[in-house]
Amino acid sequence: MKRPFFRPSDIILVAALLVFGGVFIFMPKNEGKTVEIMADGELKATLPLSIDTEYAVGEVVVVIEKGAARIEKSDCKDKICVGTGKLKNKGDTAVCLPNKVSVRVSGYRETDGVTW
Amino acid sequence: MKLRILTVILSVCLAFCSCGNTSGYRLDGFAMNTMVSVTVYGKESENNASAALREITATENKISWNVKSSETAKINAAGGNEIFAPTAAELIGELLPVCKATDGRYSLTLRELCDLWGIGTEKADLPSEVDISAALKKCDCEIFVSGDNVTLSNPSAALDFGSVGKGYACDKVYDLLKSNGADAAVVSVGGSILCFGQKNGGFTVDIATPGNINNSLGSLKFDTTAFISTSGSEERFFEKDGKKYHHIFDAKTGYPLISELKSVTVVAKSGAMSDALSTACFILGKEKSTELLKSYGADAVFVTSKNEIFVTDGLSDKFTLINNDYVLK
Amino acid sequence: MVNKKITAKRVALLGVFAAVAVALSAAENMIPPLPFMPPGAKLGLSNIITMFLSMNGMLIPSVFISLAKGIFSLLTRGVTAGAMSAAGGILSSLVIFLLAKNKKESLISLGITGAVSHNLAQLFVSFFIVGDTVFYYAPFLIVFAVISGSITSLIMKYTSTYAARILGGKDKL
Repeated sequence: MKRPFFRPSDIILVAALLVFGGVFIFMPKNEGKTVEIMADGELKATLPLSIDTEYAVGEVVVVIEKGAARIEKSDCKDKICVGTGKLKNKGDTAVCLPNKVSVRVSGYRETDGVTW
Repeated sequence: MKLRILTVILSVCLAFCSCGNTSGYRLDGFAMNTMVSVTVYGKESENNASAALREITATENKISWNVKSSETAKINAAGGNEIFAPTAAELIGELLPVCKATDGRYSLTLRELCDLWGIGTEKADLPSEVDISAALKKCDCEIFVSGDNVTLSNPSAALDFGSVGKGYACDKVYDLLKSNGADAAVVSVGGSILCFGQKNGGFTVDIATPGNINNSLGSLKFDTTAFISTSGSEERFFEKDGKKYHHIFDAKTGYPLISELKSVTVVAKSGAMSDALSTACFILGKEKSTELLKSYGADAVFVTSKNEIFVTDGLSDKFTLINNDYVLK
Repeated sequence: MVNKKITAKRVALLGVFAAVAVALSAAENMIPPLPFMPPGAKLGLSNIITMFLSMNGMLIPSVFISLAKGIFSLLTRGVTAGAMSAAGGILSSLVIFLLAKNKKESLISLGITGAVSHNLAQLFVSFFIVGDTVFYYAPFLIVFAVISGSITSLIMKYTSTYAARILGGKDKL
């Protein structure tokens, strides 16, 4: 009995997966307010998206410019993190696995500074 | 004809729109043994930010006991002789009344005591009673200021501006930004904050939860220039046999101050004052601080070890609680 | 049925299969990431080999080849890449093996589920390394898995008869 290539129930499978994925991808996104930079699981910095700046975690350089954040350069081999491009909306994330760095945009309130 | 008027009106509107959003430029650095960050808004933001960072380092070079060429180092090496030190003289002049208000428990000459305890370094340990007495003797000192000259009454004492240096650096940056005509800026020198000028949306400064700098206790909102500093027992300490020894000493006992407070955040008319007053108020405690704060036109947020927050009148409409583990009274 | 008996000839052939899998995986990695592809997304061409083995009940060889690919990635691209490759390969082999026990299970369903489980395993490995921020990529990986899984199934449709014949045994699968 030859294994079929395609069955009616496959339509349901594909549709379900595409809808699930599609919903999350095309969800109306909120504009992000701050960028959370984490390294080794620790929150290293929370920077506002509205201020142009450069922040380096080891060899990974995060640049915030014109309301968007991006990983500008990194010493990792694949440079997938650099290729992720601009992070602007709430939830947008760039990750550099070899360096254990993650950069994520969140919608938290903006602070100008913290006193301690 | 009507079309021309319309074009003019539209262009004028567009011109106003572009003024709406001020973009900022942020520069981070390291000075006074801590993290420094400067964010400047408006024109020349990059230049002003770099200049501000340089000013902070320059200030450190003038008043840090750790910098050999500083006025403070010279005073400390003078063995009781008079030294020409205009910056130190000015600062001391402002601070002595604050020290007096704490009955001498807040002192500028605790360098020997700090070294003995070593809090904040690897050699932090509980010293013996004998060592503490000896250190206190060295710290017992009167500071004489005559014009631009400073003299220490006790040659083995050492002047230390650590409790006020960061706030003072903010003052210097304020002067710089003012003379450069900057629109707005936010400067953070190891937790002492300067909000300069005015910007869209005002300034929001978070007070960190004592002991957890990544967590916000509450926030203060300002429309215009403000100087903010915090002193607390949770920033720097070491533990031994289950007891916590923090870095704010009571000059009378030689031990870290025993206080009902975890931290005090002061908003004052200058950075040096906000820094000094935050330490003094921490030492004095909530009740005894009210007079002192009033006399300097300053306000404060007190955080007690019972997780209660008390805000003086001047800040009551500016403070918002964020961390619900604490209770606003 | 594919003949599962262990003979020297078959062991050698499995070695060839492993080499092909590794070569395909290396070739895939040389394709530069296109704009719409989530970081690290691969076409999954090398998964043809493991899918073929798993769906014909040869789970152990399939797992070994996944490990071989993992070691290859480890040597060429580092620990993170190696762990991700191995995890993805092993989980998808297992999933396809289990699903394929049902003789009526379609190729498309095997291919897509295999690709989805491969990507999800990799996602979990990166979660352990970096934290929960990686889940941001989950929807993209799922959609991409549907596409790459379909491609794998399609290729499987036209090549598996030949592969079965090489391994010996009757034509039928």
